[in-house]
Amino acid sequence: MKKTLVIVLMAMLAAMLFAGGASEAKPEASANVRTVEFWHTMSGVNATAIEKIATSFNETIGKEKGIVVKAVFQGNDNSEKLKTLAQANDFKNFPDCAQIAGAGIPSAYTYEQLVTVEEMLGASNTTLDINDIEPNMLRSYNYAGEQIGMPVSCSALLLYYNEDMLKEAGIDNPPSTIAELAEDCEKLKIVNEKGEVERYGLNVAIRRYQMANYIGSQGDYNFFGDNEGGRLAPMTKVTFGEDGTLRNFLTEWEKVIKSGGYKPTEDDINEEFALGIHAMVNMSSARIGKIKALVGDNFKWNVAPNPKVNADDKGGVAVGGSCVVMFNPDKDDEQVAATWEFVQYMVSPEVQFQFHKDTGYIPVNKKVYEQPGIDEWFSKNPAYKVAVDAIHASNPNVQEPFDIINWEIDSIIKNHMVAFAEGRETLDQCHDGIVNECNEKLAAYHKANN
Amino acid sequence: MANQLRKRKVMKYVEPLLYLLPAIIFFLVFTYYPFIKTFIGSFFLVDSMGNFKHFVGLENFIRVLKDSNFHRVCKNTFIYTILCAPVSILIALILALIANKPTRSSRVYETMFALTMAMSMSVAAMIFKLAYNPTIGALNYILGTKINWLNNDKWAMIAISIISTWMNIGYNFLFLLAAIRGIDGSILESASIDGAKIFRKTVSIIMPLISPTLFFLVITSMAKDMMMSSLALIFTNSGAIATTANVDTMISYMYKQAVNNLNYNDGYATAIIAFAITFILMLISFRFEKKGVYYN
Amino acid sequence: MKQIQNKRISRRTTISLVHQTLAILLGLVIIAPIIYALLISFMPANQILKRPPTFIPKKWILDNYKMAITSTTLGRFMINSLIMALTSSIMRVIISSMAAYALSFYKFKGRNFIFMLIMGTMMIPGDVVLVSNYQTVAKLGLINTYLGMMIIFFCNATNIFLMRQYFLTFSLTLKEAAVIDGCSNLRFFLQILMPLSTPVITTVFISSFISVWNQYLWPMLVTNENLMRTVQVGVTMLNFPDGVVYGPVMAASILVLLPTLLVFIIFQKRIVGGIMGGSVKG
Repeated sequence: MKKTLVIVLMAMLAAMLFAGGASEAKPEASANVRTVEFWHTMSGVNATAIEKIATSFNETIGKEKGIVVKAVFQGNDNSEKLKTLAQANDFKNFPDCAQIAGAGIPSAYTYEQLVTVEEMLGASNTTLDINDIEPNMLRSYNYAGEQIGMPVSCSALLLYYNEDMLKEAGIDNPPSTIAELAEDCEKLKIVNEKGEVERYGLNVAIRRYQMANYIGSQGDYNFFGDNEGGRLAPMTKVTFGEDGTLRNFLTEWEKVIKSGGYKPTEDDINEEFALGIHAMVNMSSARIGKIKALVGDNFKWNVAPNPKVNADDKGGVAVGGSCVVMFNPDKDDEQVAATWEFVQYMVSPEVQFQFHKDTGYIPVNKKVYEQPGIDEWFSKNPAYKVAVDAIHASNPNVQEPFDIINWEIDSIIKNHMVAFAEGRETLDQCHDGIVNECNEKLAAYHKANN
Repeated sequence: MANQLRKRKVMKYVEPLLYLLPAIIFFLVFTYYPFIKTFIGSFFLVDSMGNFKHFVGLENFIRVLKDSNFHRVCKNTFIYTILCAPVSILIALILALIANKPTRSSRVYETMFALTMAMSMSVAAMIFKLAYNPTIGALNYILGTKINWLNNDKWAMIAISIISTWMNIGYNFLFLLAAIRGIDGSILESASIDGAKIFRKTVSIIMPLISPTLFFLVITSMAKDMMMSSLALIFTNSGAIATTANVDTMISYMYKQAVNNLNYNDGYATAIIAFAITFILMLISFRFEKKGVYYN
Repeated sequence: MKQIQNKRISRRTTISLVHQTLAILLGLVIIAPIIYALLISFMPANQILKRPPTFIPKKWILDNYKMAITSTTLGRFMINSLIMALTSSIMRVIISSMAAYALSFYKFKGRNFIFMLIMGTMMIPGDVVLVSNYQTVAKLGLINTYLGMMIIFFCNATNIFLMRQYFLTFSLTLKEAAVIDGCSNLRFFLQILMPLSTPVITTVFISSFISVWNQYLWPMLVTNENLMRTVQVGVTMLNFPDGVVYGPVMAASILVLLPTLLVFIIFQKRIVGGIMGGSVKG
């Protein structure tokens, strides 16, 4: 019995090793081929999609020009890994380019090995017209007036809603403001005789990402902190306290909380929405594909632009997602040119259209909308159109902040917003807590780094 | 002659050190050197690149010790340690008593009892994340409860502790089983003739005999639990637990400060304080070794 | 007379049978989370989302496993993890038995100090020394090498402590007798002590194997190539960035569990046969 078990397990292992060994294709190495190392952070289907870009590059332009891109998964936070390398002064192990989130731009900016997109625009092998790239996505990775990174995967915060449930509750249009959202929450919630909520109107945990959207969207646009939310120079304090936008948001949000149909923590938000536990959820457009797969034909659902804080707000949404930054670790200009070749390829209309279809990220290149098949694609996938339109309708100044200590800010906001929603903090306590703690932490950072 | 004697004397001193040398080198290079750097750093103002700027004395410590976040993570760490180590050892002890006598199928259940030892943190976290889900997870369904395990102030730390308690059962079981099996059969036999009840037999005869193993397990689990960070990091960073203050431990807090926030000032000071607390606990335990542990 | 004896025997067997059944049932409870993962790994995606949850797959499918194997190179990761875990475990056995030998069979000045120094490392969390160790390993030029991935795991205080506890149960007279017989200290260590200590060696080996196999952060930090990744990283590669896809992740978890399971089943007799914490006479 034991022997059979061991043999069976061995056999399974061997089968796996074989399967794994066989599928590992090594890029051919030859004398005149340059290898460009590209660190990405994508996993699951997105990883397949981004590796597909590298492969197709290698088979076309790469083959022609003797460039081989090696795409390497590096966990979900490249900025952190680059930081560790930089602290160890280990620049020789830097990649040629890396995918990072916007929050990593300020630290990337300090590495002298960084090659900005701005510097490359005048390069001899530049074929890209920077004006083709969406302006708000460019601004996401722009620091002190200089274009640092090239946007590759972008998304927008949306309101997902269960069409069937809304209809059943007599709601014709999805809410466009937080006040409406609160009313609808009240209508949509289902409470059983024991007083337990069986169906929530809305599920979302307000974190830094959501907060950046709700703060940024107010008025024409609004900044999260000083120096345009850290985009001109390092952000030294948050400004949403003094300009009243946080209080606006909290006042409106309190209505949602009081509706009794709001769940302030996220467990498995995608799955729970698909199960009909929440009528609405507030999350990134990057999840459209996931929700589509989970819901299947069980019910009709759609997405709507993120609700406004005040009815007359015009800001729109902040761009989420990531960009690619380039490095020149070996002081080799030809290597940089090869890397630039690949970066330009990544944002070309054809590639971006395919990447959008594979992952649901919003195309960064405006020319994508001239691609054949685009109309058909959007008519089959209307949810993506909503996301694209939301970005197009937004002011480029609405951005996630370059707050340097983004993790800390995130946890401050998250903790206070949950406490507020659960009644452990009043509006004032929540407001002052967020403002003061953010400012204290920012001050502590600047004290240590000036 | 005298020369040879001296040589022998020197050898007598040097020889054990030679055996210790590899261990000492590795510990010095990969543990103490970075630790001492951290220790020194905790008295300095440190920038985000890890450069020491200037001496600030105890300022970092005072700030951390006054910080209510730090009080919270201390409390969490103690709760976690108090919940995990004893419960896991107790369960393992019961299992070891059950499995003590070899039977035809003992191989089967011994393996099952020990299996949790093979689990990795990331895998266990994934399984429990699904099991804890209030609606589609297995746990509420089986228990007939409606607890939001991960996002309830009271339950979050308990939920985390359950995972690690479970993971440690296998390891503790193996050690305790071996210890119990190692007890001279005639001692137990004579106890049975005396008509000693199972419980009394356990407490008065088995416990002292397995005390070195118990001591080993208590010491190592305590140190491990006081230093726990991975589960707290996995669950809070993925957003599965919204109120991070509910489950952050001293070390996960330190990790976030130093690695995520580049705040080495709070990070280093927290690390040193955590070390000091654990060190004191260990000293107390080793005091106890002299009294309560019997080596033959 | 004979009947009574038979009765007694059959009563004994019944009790033993009940005992065994209960023990196995209890065992199933203990490994319930693993069984749960196993069942989920064969479930179609839409069934995982059933409310209330169901446990037996309506249709047993292999899609999750296919996805786990094809979307990452899990096989290659397994080889890497195997190399890393095996080498580290062997190194740990060598280094810790030597250290424990010195700590338990020699009396010398500063012994307690060194022992406390070693035990002290248990209280220094790996997270604290992470960045600094990266610098050291980078300076040694070990980035992207197997050695770099495992060097920090070569030495472990728990293992030394465990070995010491074991060695302490041998009386010092054993060594004195051997030395009088003309046996050198080294020979005593290699030819008498070590063979007598196979149980504890097995234990140290197995526990090291498992703990190194399960390492995540460090191996990822010091390698920059897909070909150098370990299985634990492989499992996270299957995670969708915005929420877990439970099916393939559970499948990968089960696959990653296989080698440790194998080690367990092969060595089980030895481990259980004698960790012998400290209560056995030498």
